[in-house]
Amino acid sequence: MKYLVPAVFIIVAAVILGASGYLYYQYYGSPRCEACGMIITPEMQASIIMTDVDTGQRIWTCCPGCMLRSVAAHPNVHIEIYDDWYGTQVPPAVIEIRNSSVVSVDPETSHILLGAKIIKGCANNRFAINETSVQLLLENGYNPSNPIAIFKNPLPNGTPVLAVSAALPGLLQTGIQYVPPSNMFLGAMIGIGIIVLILSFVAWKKLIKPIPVKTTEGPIK
Amino acid sequence: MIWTALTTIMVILGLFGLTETVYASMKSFGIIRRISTAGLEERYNLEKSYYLLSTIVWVILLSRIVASGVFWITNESLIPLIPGAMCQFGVNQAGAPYSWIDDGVKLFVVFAYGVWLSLDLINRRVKGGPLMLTLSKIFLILAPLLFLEAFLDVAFYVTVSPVVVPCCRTVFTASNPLPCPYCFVFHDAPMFLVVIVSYGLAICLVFWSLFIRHYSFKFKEIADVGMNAIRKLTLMALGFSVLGTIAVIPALFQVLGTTGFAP
Repeated sequence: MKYLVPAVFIIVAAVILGASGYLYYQYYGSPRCEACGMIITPEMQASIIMTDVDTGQRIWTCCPGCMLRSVAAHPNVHIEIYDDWYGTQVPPAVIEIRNSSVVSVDPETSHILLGAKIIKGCANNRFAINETSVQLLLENGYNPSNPIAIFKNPLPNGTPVLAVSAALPGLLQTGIQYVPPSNMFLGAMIGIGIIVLILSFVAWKKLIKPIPVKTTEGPIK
Repeated sequence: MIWTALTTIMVILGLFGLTETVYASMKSFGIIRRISTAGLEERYNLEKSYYLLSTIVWVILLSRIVASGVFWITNESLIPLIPGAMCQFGVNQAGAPYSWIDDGVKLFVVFAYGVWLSLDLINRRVKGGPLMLTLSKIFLILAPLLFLEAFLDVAFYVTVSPVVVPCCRTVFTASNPLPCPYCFVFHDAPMFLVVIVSYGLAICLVFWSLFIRHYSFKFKEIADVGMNAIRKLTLMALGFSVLGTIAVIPALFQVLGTTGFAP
């Protein structure tokens, strides 16, 4: 029983530090979409291969919307993207972007289905290389027999269908949406920390004072 | 329902909590009703009955505390299974409204359950169990919270489905002074998990000490054991607040130095 307090403290501290460490490992260990932060799945890795031509680095991206949003941080990119209906049955479309402008799209009939304009969320975006694929994706949302289908959900009604060059300016403006916490929030965290520290110290000092015992005897005369 | 090992565990723990809470509440009510008129022999029987109740409540409360931890792990594991979900905000949208209420309730349960557990620990160390009636009453006060928490767990995990949800950035935009709490704690700056849990536990430990002190004034029999417990709890509170303060420094540096999601 003598070692109960240090043992409990060490176990709880180890659990929370371990959980935090695991989350750090997850954060740095698995690639995340640079534009929105979503964890990159094997389907995403296989569907969109985006490379910064200036640095030669692979840019991780989760959907066609975030792909173009990432151009805000990488103005010169080479993209190979598979059609969301046909998957690997047909060769990927190739998009070249230089100085944040579309230089070429092959095939030229390629379109982005930007369902995120209707219901926000990457799961509502698709890429199609021709009109047939556009119609099939609008009707069904995804192809169950496409092994690299990223999102398996129907598209919202009224999903806009845009050419890559038409979709780029708006998405470029949205850019990478990391929202850092405000200084007020961080200040509040420090303030709470100081209060908790003082509270604990005062409790440790004051609460351990012996409890007074009531006496039934009268005052001493 | 999305069947995974973790959601199944949560539903089982929830159902266990519900049934055991009903049983323990009835037993607790019986003790409260009979103790004031009990003779010496009946009081002895009630004491035995209370020890059974105490053991059951320990199992319930510890299972609920474990469920509170597994709850966050389960929600984190559901993110890839819900289209459009980037963090637990998306999971909560898929399980609304139960998920949101459950999230709020989960933040306070450890504090509430700890009051009973710490007092019972003291009661077990003192002859005659002077806090038997008090603890039975406190349990009856806790029972609705226990019932609500277990019910919310079951309702949430049974109703959550892989529907398309909008991502958290629709609410936590650049103009919002607060970051998405789920992204912030679980993804962007996990060191804040240590900060929040440490400070939370420090506050809980101080409040439990205050409760023990309050009952030590009322029941002189537990004064010595109570003081010993207060000494240990406040020391642990100080330890956790120091740990939280140590963790807050790298956590702040990390947040201030973050420029985006790219590592």
